[in-house]
Amino acid sequence: MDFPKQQISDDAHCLCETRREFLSRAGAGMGMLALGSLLGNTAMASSPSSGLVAPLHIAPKAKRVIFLCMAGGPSHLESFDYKPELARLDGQPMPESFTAGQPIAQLQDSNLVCRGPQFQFAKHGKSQQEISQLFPNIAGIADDICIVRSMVTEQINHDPAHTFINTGTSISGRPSMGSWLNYGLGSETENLPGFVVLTSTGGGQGQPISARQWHSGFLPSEFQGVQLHSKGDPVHYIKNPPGVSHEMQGDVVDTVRSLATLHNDTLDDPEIAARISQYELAYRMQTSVPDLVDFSDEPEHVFDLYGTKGADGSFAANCLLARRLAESGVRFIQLYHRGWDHHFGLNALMPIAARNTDKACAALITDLKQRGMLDDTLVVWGGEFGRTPMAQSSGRDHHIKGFSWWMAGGGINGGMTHGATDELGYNAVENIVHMHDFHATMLHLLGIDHKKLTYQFQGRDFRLTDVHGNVVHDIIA
Amino acid sequence: MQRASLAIGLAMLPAAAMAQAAVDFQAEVWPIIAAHCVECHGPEAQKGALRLDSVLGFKKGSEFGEVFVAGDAHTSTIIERLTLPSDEDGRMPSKGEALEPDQIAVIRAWIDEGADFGTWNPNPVERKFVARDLSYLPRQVEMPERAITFNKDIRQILSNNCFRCHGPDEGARKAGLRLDLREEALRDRDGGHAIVPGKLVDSLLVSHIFSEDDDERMPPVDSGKSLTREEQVMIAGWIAQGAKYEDHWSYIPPSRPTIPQIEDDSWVRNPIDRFVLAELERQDIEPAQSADAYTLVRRVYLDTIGLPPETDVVDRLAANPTADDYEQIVDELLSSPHYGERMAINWLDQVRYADTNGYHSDESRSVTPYRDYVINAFNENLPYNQFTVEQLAGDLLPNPTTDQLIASGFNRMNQLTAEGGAQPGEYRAKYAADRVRAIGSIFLGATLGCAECHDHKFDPISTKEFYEFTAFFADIEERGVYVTGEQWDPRLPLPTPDEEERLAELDAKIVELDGVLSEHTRALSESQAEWEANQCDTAADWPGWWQPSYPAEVISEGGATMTILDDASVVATGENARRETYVVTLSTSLENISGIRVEALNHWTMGIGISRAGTSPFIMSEIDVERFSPGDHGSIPVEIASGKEDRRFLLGGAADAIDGFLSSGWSNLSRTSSGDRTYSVYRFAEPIEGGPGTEITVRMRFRGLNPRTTIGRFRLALTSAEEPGLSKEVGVPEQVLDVLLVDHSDRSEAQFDQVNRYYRTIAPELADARKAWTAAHDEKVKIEAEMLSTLVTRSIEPRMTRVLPRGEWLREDGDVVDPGTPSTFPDLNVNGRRATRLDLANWLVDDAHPATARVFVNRLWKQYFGTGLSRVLDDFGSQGEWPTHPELLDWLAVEFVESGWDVKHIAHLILTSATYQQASVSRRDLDEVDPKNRLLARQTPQRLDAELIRDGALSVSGLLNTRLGGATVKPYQPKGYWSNANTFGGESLNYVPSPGEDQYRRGLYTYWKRSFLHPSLLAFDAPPREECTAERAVSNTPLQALVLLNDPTYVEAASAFAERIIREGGNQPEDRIAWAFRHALAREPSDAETLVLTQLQQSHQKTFVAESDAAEAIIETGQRPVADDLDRAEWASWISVARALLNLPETITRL
Repeated sequence: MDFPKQQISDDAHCLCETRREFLSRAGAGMGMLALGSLLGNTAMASSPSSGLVAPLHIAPKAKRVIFLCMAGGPSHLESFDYKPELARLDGQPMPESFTAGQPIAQLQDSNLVCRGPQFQFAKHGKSQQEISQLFPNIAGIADDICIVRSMVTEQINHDPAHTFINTGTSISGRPSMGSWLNYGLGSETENLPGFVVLTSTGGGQGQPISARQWHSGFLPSEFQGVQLHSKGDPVHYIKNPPGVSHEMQGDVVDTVRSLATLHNDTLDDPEIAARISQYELAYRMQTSVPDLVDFSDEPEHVFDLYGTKGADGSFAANCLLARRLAESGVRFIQLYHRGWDHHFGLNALMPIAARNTDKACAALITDLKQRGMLDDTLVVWGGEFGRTPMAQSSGRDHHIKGFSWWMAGGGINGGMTHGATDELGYNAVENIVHMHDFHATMLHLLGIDHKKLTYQFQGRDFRLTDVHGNVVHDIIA
Repeated sequence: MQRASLAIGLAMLPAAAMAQAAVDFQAEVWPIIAAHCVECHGPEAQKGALRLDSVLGFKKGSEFGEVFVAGDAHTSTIIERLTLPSDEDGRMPSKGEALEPDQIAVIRAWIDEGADFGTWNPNPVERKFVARDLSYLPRQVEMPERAITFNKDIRQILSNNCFRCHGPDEGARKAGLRLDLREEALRDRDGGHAIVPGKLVDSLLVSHIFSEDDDERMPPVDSGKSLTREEQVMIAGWIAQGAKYEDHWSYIPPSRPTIPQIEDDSWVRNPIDRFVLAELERQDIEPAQSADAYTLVRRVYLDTIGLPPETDVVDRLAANPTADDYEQIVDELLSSPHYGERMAINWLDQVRYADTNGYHSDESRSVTPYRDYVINAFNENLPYNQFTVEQLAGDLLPNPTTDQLIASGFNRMNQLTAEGGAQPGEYRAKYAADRVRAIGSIFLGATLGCAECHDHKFDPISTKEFYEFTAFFADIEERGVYVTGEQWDPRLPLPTPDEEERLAELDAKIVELDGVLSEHTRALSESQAEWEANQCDTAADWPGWWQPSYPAEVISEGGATMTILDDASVVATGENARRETYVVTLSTSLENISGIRVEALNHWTMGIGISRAGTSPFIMSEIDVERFSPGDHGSIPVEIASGKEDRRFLLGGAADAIDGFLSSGWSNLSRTSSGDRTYSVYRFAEPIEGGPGTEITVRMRFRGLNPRTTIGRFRLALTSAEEPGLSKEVGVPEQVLDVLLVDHSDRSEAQFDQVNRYYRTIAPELADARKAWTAAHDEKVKIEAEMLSTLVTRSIEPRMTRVLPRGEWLREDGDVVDPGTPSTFPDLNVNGRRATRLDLANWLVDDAHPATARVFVNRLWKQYFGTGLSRVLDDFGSQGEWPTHPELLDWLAVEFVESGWDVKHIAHLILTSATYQQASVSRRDLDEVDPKNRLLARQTPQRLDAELIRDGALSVSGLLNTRLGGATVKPYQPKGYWSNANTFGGESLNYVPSPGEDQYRRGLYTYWKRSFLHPSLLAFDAPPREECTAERAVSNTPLQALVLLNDPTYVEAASAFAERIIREGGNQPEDRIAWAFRHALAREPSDAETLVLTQLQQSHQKTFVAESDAAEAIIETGQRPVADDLDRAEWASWISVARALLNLPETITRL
């Protein structure tokens, strides 16, 4: 048996060159594919890149999405869907015609009694949209938002319900919508991941949110969501090791690049070039991400608008960070506020959850609008489900047959209400928007035909909308 | 590629009906045409793109123009050609004699009379097509000359594009057309045929796929699918060649193929190479040269045991690079205990092994013995058939061993829920489907899960068969919804010898104490007499006094075993139903009963707490009371006016237990362990008159947020006090007081006994014994709770399995099914009895099973080459890939089975093949021909699995703890990573990294929390294992760079590695760098590489000299104690070198 000696080309003189010279030389040695990644600050896998869908299927109206996920399932009956008939039946038995044979969560075997709306509603804006007193600031942007009162979903427990709104199925292991979008559209930022997740809590039982919710499933993990923290280290492992300065870290990265490049002269493996470009991006992120979460460059009036100075882990700080991420080109920004699971203490707790979020939601819309970014940013507000018209103790149970979301910007027709539930707010009965329809519409607004964005896995072409989904044209401007 | 031309000709159909003509085409014209023209203008050949065997062909004409002009024979080309002189170019027929004049006359007359084809129409097309102009169809299509085979060339095209609507799923089938079965595709469909073998023009499938009309083209526009020109042509060519179907390759049992003959066998080491080389020779490709010794040793180490090689082994082979030496290394590695660890990683991904339950609050469960079983099974080379049987049905084997029971934990690896409000039926359906998906993938390479809601779109698997498959597992004892904080029973306890011993001691002690507590002693009799004397008039001594009552009857509607204890309390054991109601009847003589008290008490059976849901609070949703007095016709509801409690938990107080809402109620959380007690009291709106013969029935209902949050031990007491008060006093039971009023001489034996027994529960003399007795029980419970256990399968009476139409779990109208295997696989014959999991397992490992062996060897191949011989590891169905080397796959499968399912044998064959030992350097000469290296004319570099990246860093740093198996460990993890998690069972979210040696264990022992898998593992594509993962993604992200640069695990490893470099690598920087290279990469550095690292080290040494704090900080990263005899700045500078090395792409890649 004959084992040739491994050969590594001796190529030492490059060491005396400046970094830039080295980079360009190294690029030349690694073939055209990698060249761009090593010149200047563009990086192959991280540069603003076109995604799978090029050209886009449809003229896009939105470039990015900010999804304000009200985790826990806010009550539509106390927010955007006023039901006077339910008020009239307050305390009376829920008519069985509504509930027979329906999936019920915690109210199994209980006496089903109607609970009227607990808060006042009024009409707001030119569009006269009906919004509850819990959301005075959102009421102030009534003309910018489209309230959808006819959402339906399929999963009645928190964990699978989140999985369902994120991936279009309750089976684990499928990509989240943010991953799909980045896979389809590519990235618009060279310094940040294209899918970022932020979380906050307050106002009720904080149900867990699994990292599964922003997993890329069977899509390559570069499309996975990255969780950013507005408090503490913004991204895991973003800080240099103790004792290591930014320059020294740069030296290590440079050394890795030099050695990898030398070795690649032998191997000619495109993966190596790709990995080096990821080191470049990582190194840039070590500066860009802390800059991003450092709000000191924001003027006072912006802090006032949102009601935060940042770095406090609040929903408001996350909203402000979301705007900064949107400006930086992040494609899909998802905020979870864990505080809406009001089985008990609806009257006491829901106002807290609302207070924690109302002002910042409105601030985000206003801020985006002022910056001319609302037009191409789709903002979505909603939870994994709504709540029952029936009382559960001092609150309401989970409910999937009809609940409210709102959307704004990104080609959405503001100042309108779409769809309706029945007189007791139980079933969506008019212009029903299933979660699959929302996904189809979101993709449509971003220029993608939801039936054409597919990925083959286990021998099947999968898509975000599975085999369902219709674009809701009525809410598109 | 060589190509030949084949024309596809199609023509327009007549636009209008013609008048009746004298010449009958079919009877008079067609015989002439058939005899003289069709040979060259028919199905076999279409010269000039002309076909004259169909109306369409006539009408369409040739590439030169129309054939005839109806009504005008004179200008019709056909007449012109037929009448040309025989020496003229273009005379028809071109071969043979001219037509007879009368034959030409017939044709001429037919044309002049209007060229009516009458009823002659051998190729009717669907009505939809009749009015269409198809003349735009391509006339010339390039088509491969080689034989086109269904499995290799066609199945996937049809499957990808057509089967969704024209495949096995009857529900989705359009136009009644099914293309996956030949007889169906060829069937006469009102005169038309989708496929007519050998006849393109007659095959509607061809016209449909080539159509440029959006309304007609298949696949339809709105399907989002389209065929490439190559695919269109391939289908046409296949039909032209006879449209032969083949049984799907993976459903045919493999038979041992002949080992191919090759021209030059000097390269060959074993039969594997002959299969590979035969294909390479066919394509005129030379295999790559062998990898160098360094690369090869590192490769075989990483592939076999997942650790970098020891430098002496590398040196050994480099010094003496013979095949024998190499083979010896392979043998050593296959007998290493770390081989099992390496093999386990893939298996654990597939079986979705994890240390938490998955859904919602995602808490711990104990399954590590199963993980260790897998490691040991691979190490001991347990035959794969036995390995399969033990996992699927170890519990059903006769006299199963402990290992076999542990193995049956396989069936329990699925995600489980304990979320409040979850429906057991829904989750049972989820668990069942999850199992079928996983087992289909693991053993059958079949996507059975696709048939949950509808028949499989691509493979012949029906929904009914899906549910029949789930029925195999209907005997597994499990709950739909579990309780947080409780264990996920059934479990197999695995006590250590020490624990076993202590348990025996405790049992003995309990027996002894039972004796003490029941013994009659003089002292006890005396103190009892004194106590009795004092009781006579104590009853009303305190305001709001309470008298406990021994229940006359206790019923648990949930099926719990209710035991009345001597102190008048009742303890519930056994069944702990999701929804529970205790119905307790008290028989009382009290008068003016104004209220009732419910005490909740701890009992040793519950361990810690006063709820049966472990540390979760109990919640008594509702309490209601009925009374019955002698003379009443029935029970009468008693109105409860108010309730109050000594203390309560968040979820509610006594008032919530009488508010009519089941989801709220009196709730309390235990703060201590044994002896804990809490109570609530309820005042009746009107006192119950009472008196002898009165019965009071109390109904306590438990429907809490989390199921099974019942009170485990309770005691009821009644009062006649004006205002039923909250008092700590327990009181003496009514029945005991009644006896005390009876004179000693009048007491019965039973009455004596009752008082004696009660007194023993309060006697001061026995206080110590009672305490010791409880303590012994508590310790026993504690040991049992803490001792190692593992989830196992326990078989019970099978639940009924129904087909769930459209997968909807609420439906109850589906057929009831028995266990069964999909009919596309071999039969499972059990002579009419109900088939079991054991039958399923034996069926899977039958020597003739078409899937099991192939699926496994293909995965093994993937492990060693980066890609399976069939690329899609978990789908050998229509949508999978025709293997690149089908004979090799079959040969390996047969070899595997015939070797006795010997995994190491196959691994050895692969690892010692020349194919495996090739260099992995990419080959420019193959970039075009074989860009993905499927022909195996070289090895393929593979990025290491997440766990192995960690193992490698720890190994070269010398920190690695190589202990095998055992408890899970917690590597350093960013603070707050679990902040979005939530536990309802009281598990701490405060992540504490493992101390000491446990910090440095191999990656596969990491605590696998599904909802928040360790971020470093996740970054390198380790799957959360919520679903069966046959193949991990391999990504390349900036987060990976951040992990290797900044995760303290890698920084600490670099610090330890640097220390070794300094201590063991010599004194000169060059020597040290060479030493470091040999350890990290198993090779020597080049001069250039040495120079780059020397510069880094020297420059950083300067910096660290100036900043000694910085040096100290990086050196001390991690929790290991650091040496104090090394120069800080020098050490820190070598950490930079070590970090650079640990970050190299080469370090995390096996070449």
